[in-house]
Amino acid sequence: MTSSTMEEEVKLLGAWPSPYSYRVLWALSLKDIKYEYVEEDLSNKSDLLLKYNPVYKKIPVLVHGGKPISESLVILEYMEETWPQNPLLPQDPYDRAMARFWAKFGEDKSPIFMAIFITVGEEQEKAAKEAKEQLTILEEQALGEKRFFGGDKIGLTDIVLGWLAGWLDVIEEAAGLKLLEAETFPRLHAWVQRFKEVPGIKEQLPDRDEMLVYYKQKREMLIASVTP
Amino acid sequence: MATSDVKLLGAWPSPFALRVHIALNIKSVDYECIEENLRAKSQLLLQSNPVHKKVPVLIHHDKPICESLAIVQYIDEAWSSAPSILPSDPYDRAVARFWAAYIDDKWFPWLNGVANAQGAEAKKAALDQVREGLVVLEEAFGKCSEGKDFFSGDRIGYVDIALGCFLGWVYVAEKRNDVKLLLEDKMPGLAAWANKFCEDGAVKDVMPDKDELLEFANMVLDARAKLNASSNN
Repeated sequence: MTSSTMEEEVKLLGAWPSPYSYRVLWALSLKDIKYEYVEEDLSNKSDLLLKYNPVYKKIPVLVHGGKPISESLVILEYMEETWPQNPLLPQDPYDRAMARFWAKFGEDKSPIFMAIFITVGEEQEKAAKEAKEQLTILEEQALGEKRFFGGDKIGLTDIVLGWLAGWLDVIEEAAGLKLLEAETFPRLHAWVQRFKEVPGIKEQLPDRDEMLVYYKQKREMLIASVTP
Repeated sequence: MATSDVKLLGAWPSPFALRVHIALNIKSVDYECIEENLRAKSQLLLQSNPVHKKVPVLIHHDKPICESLAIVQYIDEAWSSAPSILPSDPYDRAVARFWAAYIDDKWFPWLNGVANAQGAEAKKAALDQVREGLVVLEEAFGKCSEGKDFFSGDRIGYVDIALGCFLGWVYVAEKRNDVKLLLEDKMPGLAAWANKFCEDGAVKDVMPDKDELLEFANMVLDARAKLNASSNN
């Protein structure tokens, strides 16, 4: 099976305000790729989505020359290989392995952060403590003294962790607690501000007010379902 | 090249460490194998993988690489001339990465879930789930292999390694629960693939003996069950 060429049609099936959707939107933006965006209603999934992602039935799905790719990390690697301009991964194999390690770390730990949103009381406190431990690892070991996780420029890891910049503070407000405090995590805090200013990212950030309404509604529904 | 240039911190029962052994063998890389005692982890392991403190870790030119699939991709890129582990075409690579992610994110947790399931009903549900996953992978095998022996075609590659490393543990689950998971009628492609995978030159000398693995699993899982039982009293 041969790949589509760079010029062939690109379509993205996504859903607002999914951070996974935004990862692909950012990569499309950073690499200056023309695409058609299809907003999916996740409560009423299109036949197209079910056809293109029969295994998970989830967004995002990138469709290139009619061929679908699912799973945001898989999509990002595919995009990197198909459109090499403005690279998201370094050239050196060791540096690439490090980027992949931290991208996977970010992926694997996101349920811990989601837990603060879907729990209350003692369970929420426990989740918050665990989440802060992950932030410490990111602050000290993943980011360190660098401007971005990718080094001087943003890369794969920054995109995978981008939800910390655009979503975490909204989720914190909706869930009623603070995790990423500037005094405790000065480097991460600085990275968040820097990330949001990157050309290609800053034009593609979801509206904060709209997101707050969305996540507050979700939080209320969740509390209603767990409160006796 | 000095053998100490490439070190693999592993543990013989670990399917994730097995992935790295196989990848290094595909590339005919000479390496030093350091067997870790996971109940008494070495300083080298703790220093090399401070985040997870887990095997496998590949140490190349004194630089550690962690996470089995990141390591396998590293091996493919660092030793680029020998047979390729990932296909060359970007779409085929995306398909391979998709299935490797499915195996790690969905199927392996289901296999792991069998050991953790309490009671006959839960065990049956867990085993059914593993089989359902294998049916999905059977379809994937059909599409990816295009009639050849392996997911990658004529030679073993990324998805073969990602799934094949668990065959010993599938055997363990089958024996401990007195069931068949890899059904020849429902998953004929995978059943044939499994035999060929285990016989492959890059695999057969590093794959742990199935019955030794079963003995090890019995020891660990029975001890864990006793611990759970006594803590529930």
